[in-house]
Amino acid sequence: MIRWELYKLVRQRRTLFGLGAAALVPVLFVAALEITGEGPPEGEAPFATQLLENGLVVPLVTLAFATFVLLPLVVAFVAGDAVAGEVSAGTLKTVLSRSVGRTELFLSKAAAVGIYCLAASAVLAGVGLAAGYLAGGFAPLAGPGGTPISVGRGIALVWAGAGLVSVPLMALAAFAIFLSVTTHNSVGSGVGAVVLVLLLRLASGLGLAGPLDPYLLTNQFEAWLNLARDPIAWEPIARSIWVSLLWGTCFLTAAWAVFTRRDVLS
Amino acid sequence: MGARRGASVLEVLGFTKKFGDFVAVDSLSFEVRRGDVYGFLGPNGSGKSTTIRAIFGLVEPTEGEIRLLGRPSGGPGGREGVAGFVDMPGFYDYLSARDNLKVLAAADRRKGEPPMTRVLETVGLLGRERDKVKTYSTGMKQRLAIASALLREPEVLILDEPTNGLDPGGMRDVRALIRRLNEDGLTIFLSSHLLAEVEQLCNRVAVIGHGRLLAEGTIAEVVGGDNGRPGYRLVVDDAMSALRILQGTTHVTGASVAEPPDGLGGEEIRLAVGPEGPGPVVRDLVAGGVAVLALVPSRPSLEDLFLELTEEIS
Repeated sequence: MIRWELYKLVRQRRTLFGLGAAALVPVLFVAALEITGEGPPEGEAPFATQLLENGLVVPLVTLAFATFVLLPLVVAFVAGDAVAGEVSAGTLKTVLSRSVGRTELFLSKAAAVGIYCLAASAVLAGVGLAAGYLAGGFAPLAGPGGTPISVGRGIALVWAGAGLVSVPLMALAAFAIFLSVTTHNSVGSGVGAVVLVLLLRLASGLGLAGPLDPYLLTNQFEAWLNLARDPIAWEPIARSIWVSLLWGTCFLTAAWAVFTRRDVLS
Repeated sequence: MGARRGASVLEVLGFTKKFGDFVAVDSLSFEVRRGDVYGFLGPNGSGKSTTIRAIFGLVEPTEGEIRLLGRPSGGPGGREGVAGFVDMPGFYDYLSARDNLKVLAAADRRKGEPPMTRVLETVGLLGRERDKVKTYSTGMKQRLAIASALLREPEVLILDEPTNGLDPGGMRDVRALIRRLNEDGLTIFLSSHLLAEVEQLCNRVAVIGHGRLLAEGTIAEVVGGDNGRPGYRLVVDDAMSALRILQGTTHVTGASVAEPPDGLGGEEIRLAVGPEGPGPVVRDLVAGGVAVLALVPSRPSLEDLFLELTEEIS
């Protein structure tokens, strides 16, 4: 079932659109750098000061930027369509009239969306690496506090960062799936998940969350930067993983409970 | 047709479905047996689709139970041996027909290769199976829906208005296919609001309206209100004299004055005759001095009955 859920996913325009957007961002970023000859001002992004001389910084900066809007957006709109799209096309009743159980179908869909989250981060990282290499070649980096990072470790940092970012992305996708199951509205579910991201960012920015601030889903997206420290700060990384898993499990369980019990009427 | 009926394959036992305060289906019970082509009749909004959804386990009964091949329809393995569709079936229109069938075969969790080519050939879609479903006409989608059901190699086929949206040629093809599948041993449960279709295809029918069972049985039982005895339309010059004579004989089991026929002149009586047939009736009337202008067999159509039943309750 998972294989076919993935197949359906890659055959849909919105999926390719999302992956295309993830691929386009590093390319546009490099193109803008080349044209203007200016990077973002210091302090706006990690490693920003080295941007003009070292292509290895390109995937790191684009990954950090993409976690704000782009990756949540492309994940939200695909995950929001997971069930709602099938309801509006009338295919959910077609599939559920066969032998497959609702739990199995639900888990296959969730797994396919999870793989899509990984794929979106990986495309961004891969294209970022390629674009950065072509634009400026790779050189060792200066990490936070000036610790040197070799080219090999820099490349590993990009891939590990993409992997870590996809964990809170999956939790966000679980929320979009929950909306998809309950509202049966594909676009609304995508928008809803993006609104959640904006509200959490706002709450964090205004300091409304108080002691809960480190546990907001949106504050798990930057944990991967701790991999650049020397020694690596594992505590925030581990927290990012378990906090994201907690959010994701809650949303996914709620979505499953609704999906397996609700009458299929359309 | 239907004298010796097979084992029960679909039992609807006191099925009730409420949506909030609205009762969509109310204590519906009927039984489909192996070998039947069973017609499920009702006007739009009568609860047909809700019942079929419950048969597929898409809708949870508020009360009652639905059993397929002896198993509760909503439970694990409840749909094994059963295939079909409800409403206009939905397909992934960005995939080809063949890919759609592959996705559905994966959802069947069956071992071995599904009989893809054979079912496409059965419904006449072979050659078009690599085209995306979005290029298909309504009729082709309807045929693809039947193909997708046959892919399960079921014992029981459940079809919700299978000729909906088809042109007359397409309707004829689908009806011929249904007959052929039934001859091959499939039990078929078919909902329709096309009464002629049901009369042509089905050996048994259930008629529902406003979620309640209005009539159930063989077509002859449901239609021939008079114990299935043949009905006749009798046109005479004097209906009152004729009724008086008929009431004194044993050859007629029921008679009533009907609307006068158009253009024929005379007065019309509808009657049902005994086992000797209509001969003695004519003899008695002529002997009694009544002029018989016409005597024609008139089985009330399913349509008459359907309108009568469904209008009674609205």
